[in-house]
Amino acid sequence: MTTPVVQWGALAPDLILLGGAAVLLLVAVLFRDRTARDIAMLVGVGCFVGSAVAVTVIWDHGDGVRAVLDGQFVVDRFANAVRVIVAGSGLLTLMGAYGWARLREHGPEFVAFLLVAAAGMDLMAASNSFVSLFVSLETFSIALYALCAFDTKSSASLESGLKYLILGSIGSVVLVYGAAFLYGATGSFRFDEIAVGVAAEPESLLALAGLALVLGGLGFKIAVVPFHMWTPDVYEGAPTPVTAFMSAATKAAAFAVLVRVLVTAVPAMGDTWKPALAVAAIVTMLFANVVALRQTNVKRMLAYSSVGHAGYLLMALVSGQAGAKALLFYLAVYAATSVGAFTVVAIAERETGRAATIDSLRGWGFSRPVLGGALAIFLLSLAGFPPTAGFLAKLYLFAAAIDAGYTYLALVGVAATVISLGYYLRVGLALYDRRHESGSMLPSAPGTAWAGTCAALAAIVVLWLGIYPPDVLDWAGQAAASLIAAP
Amino acid sequence: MSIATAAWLAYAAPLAGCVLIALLGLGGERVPRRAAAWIACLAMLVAFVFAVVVTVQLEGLEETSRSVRSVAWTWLAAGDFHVDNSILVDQLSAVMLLVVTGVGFLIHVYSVGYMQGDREERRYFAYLNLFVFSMLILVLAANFVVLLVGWGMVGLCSYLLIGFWHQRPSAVAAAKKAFVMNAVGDIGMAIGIFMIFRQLGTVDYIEVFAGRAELGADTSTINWICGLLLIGGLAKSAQLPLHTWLPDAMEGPTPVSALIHAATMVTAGVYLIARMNPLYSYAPDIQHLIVVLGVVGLLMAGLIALTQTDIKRIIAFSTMSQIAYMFVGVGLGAYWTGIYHLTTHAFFKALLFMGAGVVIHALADQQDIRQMGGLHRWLPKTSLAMWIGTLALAGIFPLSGGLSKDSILAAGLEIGNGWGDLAFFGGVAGAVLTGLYASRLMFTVFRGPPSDYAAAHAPHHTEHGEGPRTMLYPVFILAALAVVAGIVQFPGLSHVFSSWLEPVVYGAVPMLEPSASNDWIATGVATAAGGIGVIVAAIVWGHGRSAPVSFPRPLAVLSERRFFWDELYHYAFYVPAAWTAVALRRFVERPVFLVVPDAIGAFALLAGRTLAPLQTGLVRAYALAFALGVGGLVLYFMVQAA
Repeated sequence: MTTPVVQWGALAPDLILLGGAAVLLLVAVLFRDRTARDIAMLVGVGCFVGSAVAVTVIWDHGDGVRAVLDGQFVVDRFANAVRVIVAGSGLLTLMGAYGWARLREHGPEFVAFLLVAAAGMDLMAASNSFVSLFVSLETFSIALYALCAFDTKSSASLESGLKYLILGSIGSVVLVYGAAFLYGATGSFRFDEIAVGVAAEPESLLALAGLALVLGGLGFKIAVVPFHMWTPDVYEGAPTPVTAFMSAATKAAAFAVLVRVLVTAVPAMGDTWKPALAVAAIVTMLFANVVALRQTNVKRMLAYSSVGHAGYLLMALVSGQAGAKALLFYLAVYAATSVGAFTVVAIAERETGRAATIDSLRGWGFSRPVLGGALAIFLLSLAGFPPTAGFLAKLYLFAAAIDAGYTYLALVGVAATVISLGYYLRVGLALYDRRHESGSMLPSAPGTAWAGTCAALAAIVVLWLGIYPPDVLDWAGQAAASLIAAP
Repeated sequence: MSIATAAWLAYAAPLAGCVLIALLGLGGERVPRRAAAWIACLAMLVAFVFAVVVTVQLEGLEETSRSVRSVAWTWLAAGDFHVDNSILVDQLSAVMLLVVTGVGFLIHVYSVGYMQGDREERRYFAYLNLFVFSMLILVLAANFVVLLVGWGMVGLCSYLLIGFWHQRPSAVAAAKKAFVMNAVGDIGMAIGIFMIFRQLGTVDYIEVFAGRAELGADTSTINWICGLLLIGGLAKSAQLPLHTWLPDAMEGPTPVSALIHAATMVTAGVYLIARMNPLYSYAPDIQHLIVVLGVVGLLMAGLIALTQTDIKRIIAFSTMSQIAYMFVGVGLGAYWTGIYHLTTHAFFKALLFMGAGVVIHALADQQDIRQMGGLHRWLPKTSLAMWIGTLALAGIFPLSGGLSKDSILAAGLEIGNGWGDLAFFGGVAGAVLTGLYASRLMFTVFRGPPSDYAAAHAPHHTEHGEGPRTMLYPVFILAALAVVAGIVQFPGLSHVFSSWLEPVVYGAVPMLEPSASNDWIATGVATAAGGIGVIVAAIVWGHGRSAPVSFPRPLAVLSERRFFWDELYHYAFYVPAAWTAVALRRFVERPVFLVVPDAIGAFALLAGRTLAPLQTGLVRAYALAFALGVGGLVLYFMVQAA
């Protein structure tokens, strides 16, 4: 056995994040309170920007595909695209979190956890074997468990972290179990080698059971029905900036690795997993959107909405290259929308001093025109209204499904979208409820300026991608082509 | 500068104005409110200058190549289907571009004076700029999807501006009414576009027009498409039977009535039919329908205008009647006559509205003409300008409105069949009505002894002249235009307008252009008809508000209640819809949608309690569900394999 060559360049976007985390642990020791927080913010922003810039530098290296660390990772444009989405989510999250009181005491730790989680997600998106997948998955999961429980003075936050830890561990166990089965059937952990083994014997019970368990484990991370049950509780209980990051970045990384597993490791079993995913998509879309109708807590509603969006995204997994392109575009749009929406909710919570509910938001749009307007844009984007990017994202997703022969999935998707209007518009209406126009004038919470900038920026991204999408679509198309060959 | 660049800049200027005003609004009171007004005007001036550049450059091109299509980017592409953000600049859109930006600029300037002191002036000017931007999207669109975007956006801006004074319940109700009726039109139009796409697989104008023969091969298909597009046009242009929103729309500020509900947006239906002439020329049935609706509409609106008492509503019904003339023109296949009347109408109708605005200002927001009278002594210049507008409206030769209306009637004569005769005689009868109601308004407002109200308010409000200069100069400029604009198309002498538009009318049928003799006959008859109306009005109302005669009772009621359209719609649509909504809430929403999600939640809770009475809530239940899910998945995969 030889020592593998390390392709530093290909790993640079992740190493920058990890390096930043290491620096921040020193900062936490050397500086105190606000100074520490401000330094941490600068380092965090620098790392996320650096990571995204590094991606643009290596975008064309090796014609967009490089095997790294003896094939444990494949850094292709697809992985790079996910890295950009994760970095963008992290950047917005940091801006949105700036005014959060907790960061005045533990700023460096928060940013360090965020950077580690982001690095883990990046690596998972590039994983090419179940070993690297598991290691990177645990890297970001453990960081997220800690982040969920970061507000140690809040029992909701602690409970959220604990729940996520317990249930997440079960998910991981199932995943590893499945990976072991696949190893037993094919003799390898690497996706490309598993593909050879599976192709030779696609009817192998061991491999099928393994794949089922792997899908269960990853299904937990992407939160599709019936593996979604942790989502509302954890999203609601976790500190809102953490929820924002989880909803955007975890989804991107988990979907990315799921696509990679499905198309590089087990394409030969497509006839088995495609119908299963189609059923899961239908159930998830309908169930999540119907349940969301009855939520009054906005975070919980957005959590069910997030599950519903995972349902739409499952459509992409059965739709080939066009599906992967639509998936990346959708994830990018969803990241901006979701982080933006949660950030606004976080400000509303800070200002009113209680959980954001439909009632507490009544008339709030009048006293906070920028934040209220941004939230309205996010809600419209989640509901898929033009000219927001949410419309185009859904359109490309549905079009890909129809082209791949899954017209019925697209129809269910449209029906679910119609149902979803019921709760998105309800929040929008509450925001601009004239009866509460004057009663909602509260002083703005400290640090709102940065969060407002974050929300405005995200709203501009959402509108911009909805009106001028060609560049990002081209980028998503290149990324999809690097993973899946055109039919 | 290329034509496309100039057109894009004209298009972007109002958007930039709107965004800039919104951004300055963030600065709060540190930025003077007046800044918004001047930014909006400047944006319009820039747009107008570029519109002129576009037209001059277009004129410099060969007649056959005066059609420039420019694609900015592809907005949406799925398979063979793609939608570009693209503009089409040709003779027709150049005319519209000039009218929208030119009249729009004057009305913006007028608004500076009119809206001074309003608390929400900035919002007003941002909306007004946004409206012009939307209107430019509409007229410059090079494909149906962009057209629909513009179509919807002008409807939205109209809604926002009608309801601008949102403290008034009547304004909010009027805004909603306009929005709903326009939504009906938008839906019709959208379905029409879907049909075009299904037949031809494209939504690009040029490709659709190239496939017109294919569409026209099946009479019912082309009739459906043209009919559905027409629904959009009828709603936007306030034509029968989708007209009831326009009089209520007068709840908006007067300059809005002038710009949106007289000069530009409401004429979009005329533009639509003229733009789609390659399609309509294959659908003679729909063309005849347009002529009939137009003739009935112009007569009905004229009759209603005779008895209304709100100064703005009278002008609003006049607008409906004049647009009906334009519909008759385009319905006859004489597309240029509709656009010609659209252009001159923009001048004299904006003039009348803005003059009415001066009157309303001078009387401290009084709009009831029974409270006016004798205003000539305080507002002589306004009175003169409005008389010019009124005579142009009444179709008196050689004012612009006369020449353009006559071109429509002459087209009716030229066709010579029953439809043409209907248009001609209906139009002449309408001209009499126009002369009557327009002069009634003028006599009642300006002649005779002033009412007590007018005597109490007018002297005080006109101490410093008739109004601010920003309000008066646009009125004078429009009065001048209303006089001279007809020069571009003078019977037997010049035909600049029809020659300019001729290449846009596709070769399905030769462009209808009346002979000089028919032109003169129509001009003579129509001027006489309008003159009779004016003279009769002078006899009846010449001494001011107290008219010696009244209408026969049933006709008066019919006219005052506007032919009962509102009542009809209330019972035909609102009442059944309200019942349906109540029933759905009672039988569907409450038992199904409000119960099912709760039941699911309650089940999870119950399962959690039964299985694991634990302080951490439902962790065990979740874990169990997770395990069951994984188990199910494994089982399914096994069964698949077996």
